[in-house]
Formats: sequence, C-alpha cells, structure tokens
Amino acid sequence: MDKKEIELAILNGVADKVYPKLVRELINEKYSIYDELAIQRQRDTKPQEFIEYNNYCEYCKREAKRQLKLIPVESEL
Amino acid sequence: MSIASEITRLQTAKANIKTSIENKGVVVSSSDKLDNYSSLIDSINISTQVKTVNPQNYTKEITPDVGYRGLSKVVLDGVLVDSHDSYTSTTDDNVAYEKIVPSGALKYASLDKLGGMSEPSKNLLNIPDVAETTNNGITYKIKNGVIIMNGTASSGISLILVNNINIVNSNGLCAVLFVDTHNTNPTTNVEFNYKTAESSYYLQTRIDNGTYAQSIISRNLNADSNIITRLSMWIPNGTIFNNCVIKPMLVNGSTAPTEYQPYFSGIRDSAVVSVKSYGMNVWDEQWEIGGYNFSNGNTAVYNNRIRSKSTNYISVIPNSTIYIYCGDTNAKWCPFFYDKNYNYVGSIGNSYTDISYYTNTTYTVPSNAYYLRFYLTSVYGTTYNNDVCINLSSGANGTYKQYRGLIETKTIPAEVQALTGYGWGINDTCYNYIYYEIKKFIQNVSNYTLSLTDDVRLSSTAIITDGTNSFIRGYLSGIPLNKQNLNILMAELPTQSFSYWQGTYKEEFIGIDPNNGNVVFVVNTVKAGETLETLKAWLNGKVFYYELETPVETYISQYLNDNTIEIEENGTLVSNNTYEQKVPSEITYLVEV
Repeated sequence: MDKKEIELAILNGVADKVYPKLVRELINEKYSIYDELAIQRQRDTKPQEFIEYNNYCEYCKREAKRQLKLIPVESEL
Repeated sequence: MSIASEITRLQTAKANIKTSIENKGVVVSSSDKLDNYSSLIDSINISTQVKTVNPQNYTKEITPDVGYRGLSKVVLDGVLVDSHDSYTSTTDDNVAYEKIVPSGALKYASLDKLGGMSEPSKNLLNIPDVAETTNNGITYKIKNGVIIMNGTASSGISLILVNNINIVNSNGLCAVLFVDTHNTNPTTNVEFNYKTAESSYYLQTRIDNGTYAQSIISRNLNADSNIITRLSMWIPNGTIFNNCVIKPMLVNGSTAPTEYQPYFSGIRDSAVVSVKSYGMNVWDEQWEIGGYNFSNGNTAVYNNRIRSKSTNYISVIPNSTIYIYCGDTNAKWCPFFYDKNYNYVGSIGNSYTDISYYTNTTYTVPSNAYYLRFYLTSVYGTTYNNDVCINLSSGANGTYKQYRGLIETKTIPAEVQALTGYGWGINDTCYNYIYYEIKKFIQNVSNYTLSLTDDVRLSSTAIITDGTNSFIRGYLSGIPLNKQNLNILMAELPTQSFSYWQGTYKEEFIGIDPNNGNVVFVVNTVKAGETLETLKAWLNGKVFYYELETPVETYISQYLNDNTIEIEENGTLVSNNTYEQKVPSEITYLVEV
C-alpha cells in the first residue's frame, strides 16, 4: 500500500480492515513466504533466527497500526 | 560389586525416578516408597489436545490450553487466500472531461494528478460577422460563424455567404454544414458550393429536413493546392426559410466532425479550474404534470392521459450509457434530448407506444446531446414515490439513490492557474500537470514563438513536388526538446513522425528529426513561397508547442490544499476546464471488493 492508499483508508474509515494487508506487506519487505516457512521449520534448531523473525513481525504490526493511525503515537508498545 | 554399592545404586536410581516424575507435574513425597512409584507414574497427565485454528496472514503461536500436556493435532479451518483484502485501490487515469465513479467506491477519492490539453481549432473557416442583410426577399445575418436565414426568395438568387476565405487545400479538407431548419423545410434544390479560382466544390442540392430538424452535410475535398475563396448558396425562386441556422466548418482530413466547433485562432489551452463531484442520481426529482412533444421537444399537455414529467433539464454525457431505474416496472419512460444550447435533438422513437421506452434498462445518449428531459406514462400515476433514479453508469442497475446534486467542489488556486504552462498539453502522454502527492507542478510542455530573427534554414532539397503540389522544407535547430518522443504541436501544420518524413510525402507538416532534434517545417509553396525569406515570413509570429528535454518541476505546496474529494459510488467527477474538452487526470478510489 502506498502513502496515498493509506491516507484514503484512514479517510474512508476502513483502516482496521486494511490493517492485515499492510502488516503482510511490511513483513514481506524482509521475509518472503519461503523464508518464513524455513524459519518456522528450524525454530528449534535455530532459535535465535526465530526470535529475530518474531520480533520483526511484532514490529510490523506496531508500525502498521501507527501508519493507519489505529493507535496514538505516544502509546507505542 | 558389594551390597553397599548396590544400595547406593538403587538409591540413586530412585532419586532420579523421583525427579522424572516430579518433572511431569506429580509431587513425590520424600516419604513415598518405591512401592508407590508405579501409581505415581500412572497419575502423570498425558492428555493432549486437538485444536482448530483459523490461518492468518502473519505469525501465530498455537499452544495447548491449561491442563493439557500437548497438542495431538492442529486443524487448520479452511485455507486463507486473501480474506482480509476487502478493499483495493483503483486509479482512474482516463483522459476525460467527465468521469464516472466506479461501483464499490467509498466516500472519499484522491485527486492525484490534474493536467491540461492544448488544441488548434478544428474549424479552419473564420467567417466575419455580417449585419442583417436582405437580398431578393431573403434576410440573413452572420454572428460568430453562424448564419441565420429567413424569408421567401422573390427570385432565383446566388447568395455569397462567405467571401475571402483564402484556405489552401494542401492535405485534403472536409467541408461540413450543420443545418437546423427547425422542422420547417425550405424547398428542394438549394445548393451549397465552395468556390476556388479554378472551379468549385459542390456540396449538396438540398437541405435535408430530417426527423430531428437538423442535418449534417459533408463532402471530402481532395488535396489539390487550390485556394478556397468563397462559400455560396443557390436559392431557387420561392424558397422559404424560417429561422434556418447554418454552421459551416472546414476541417483537415477526411473525417467529418459530428459536432460543430466555432473557429478560433492559434492554439487554445484548456486548464482545470475546479473539480466537481456529483451524486449518482442525476435527476433532481423535481416533478410536475404534463409531457413533452416528440416532434419539437417542447412542453405538451395530454388532456386525456395525465402524465408526469421532469421539470428541469438533466445534464448527460454524449455517447454515454444511462440507466433508468423506476420502482414501477410497468411504467414507460420517454426521453427527450437537447444539445448544448438546449435545442431539441430528438427522442429515441416517435411515440410513447414504442416498445423500447421501458424503465429499468439502459439507453445511449446521442452524440450531440448534453441535456435530457423525460416523462413517465400514466401507468406510473401522478404521485412521485421517490423511486426514480437516472444514473450515468450502466453498472448501477436496479439501484435508487436520492438526488444529491453537487457534493463537493475542489478549486485550483489562482496562483497555480497563473503558472506558466498551466493547462498546456500535446497529447494524452505529454502534458503539464499538478502532482498532488509531491506538491509539485510538472511542466513537460513548453512553447516557442517564431520570429524573423530565428535561424531557420532550408533543407538540402528545399523544394519538393509531386507534379501537382509543391512544398518548401526548412528547419530550426537549438530547441531544447525531447528527441525520443517527438511530441510537437502547431496550429497551422499537422504533426507527422520521423518515419513519415523519411518517406515519399506530398503533404505539409511539422515534425522533429530525432537524429539532431531539428524542428522541421514542410509547407505548401502556395502559402510559404519558394525562398527562405518567404518561408520565414510565413513562420513569423506562429507558435509551436513541444515536449521539453528535461521537465521542469516547481514546488507549489504553499498553494495546494487537501486533495481528497467526497464522492458517491457511480456518481460523476467533472473537471471543469477553461474549455470543455478531454483533460488528463489521475484519480484514486478505494473500492470494496
């Protein structure tokens, strides 16, 4: 989603509905679907990689909420 | 191996077993003897859980609930493809004066880019005004290129309508007459002729009254380099004119225009001054008793059958599809179309009994119709039930929405309209525009005014001829233009591409040589002579538009306000331009999938 689409979603009151789409796009900026499956498969043998991946996914969720103004900027988790 | 070591071994094993049992969640007392350990092992909770989860588009951890040791099975409930994508954005980049908002569009759209377009006059015929004149019983006057005739010819008369036309037929012309007799037909054998020094182009012997009191007479004039001098009309004795309106056009090429355009000199720029958003229902739901007359579009009273009609004109788009929704599916809907000046164009049939007049279906707006009025037959009744909707999109079948009219207007700031080059455009891919997202005015098109001091030179083969027509070739270098796209526009010469220029050509044109960026002029020698001096004299003062080699970007954030506009699904967005014509624009909508 580009900046224009995000602004339109906020304006039209559908930010919560497009939130999952934006989260997926942010995750995909760093991890492809194949990367994600490999990390999941090697979760026990490469725990550090999984921790980094999980932390990044949580960051993407916070960032998407911030961009879509779903949470106040001051109360970032 | 001694008894002591064996006891130690057994004690150690018991301690390890105790630890293992405790690790499984069962408390083992220090007083528990080995005899009890089997029952303690039996009390270990090995229950597992089966869980059903919905797949997500992001990482999700699935763990057993409290009281369970683990998961024996995880069931994915269906396959998620893209269930959260309930909205998608769509960008409308049509070049259009009016646009239909797509189905599913949400309340607000984003104006992304607003451009402009430049055009030379299609009509080459510049007719001077003539005050009212009477000749052999025929009274006529000319105003803004339009000829109006009244009276009865007292004898046969050859009437010169326009003199001193002085147009060279270099590349071929199409002569067109838009004639409106308002349904009072002059007698037959009225002739129109364009005269040259050598001969004349004979157009037609009769003004065809036609069903809708308007006709278009046209004829192609092959290229012969003759100079058209005058337009005349032969009127037989006794011919009657009653407010007969004649609008002549001469256009380049061989395709007759379907709509009259008055003459203007040079190149005309059309710039967006505002964007207006209108609701889906284009009918204002103003209602009264009565009907309209099929023969002239005027108000009619049907005494024996009471009908209900729209009070006001409804704006429509030529050649578009409209959808008529009506809650009463048995009611017949009779449309009456009008041109830009509210002159009656016609209906679709001749009478309300025509089967094609039913509601809840689509109709095509005639190519010259800009307004509509209608009535509903007596089946509907005389009480309006708030259930009639006319929309400009065939995609909104079966939908009623209350009339909203103008929803919002976005006006382009005066400071932006005053920017040099605002409203200029050569074609759909080469134009100047406001780029809202980055708050800039992007100038791709500039212009150049030729003068006698320009270093115009003759080509190596300056004069070329095909035996009938002769042309002089010249060029001007040093213009900072785009050599790849070759976009150039001039009122007096049509644009041609490099490949055309390389071939055997017998027509005049303006073009760009991509090898060196020279602007090339090829002009009929009847107009521009055969020497460099005569060519420069002809070029002097003329203007051409060209695409810049490097676009110019200007920050205009201080002038731009919010670029969003409120819309209605299947409504209309109108970019009001200086002149009503197609103007490039990009608009983004969020559409529910």
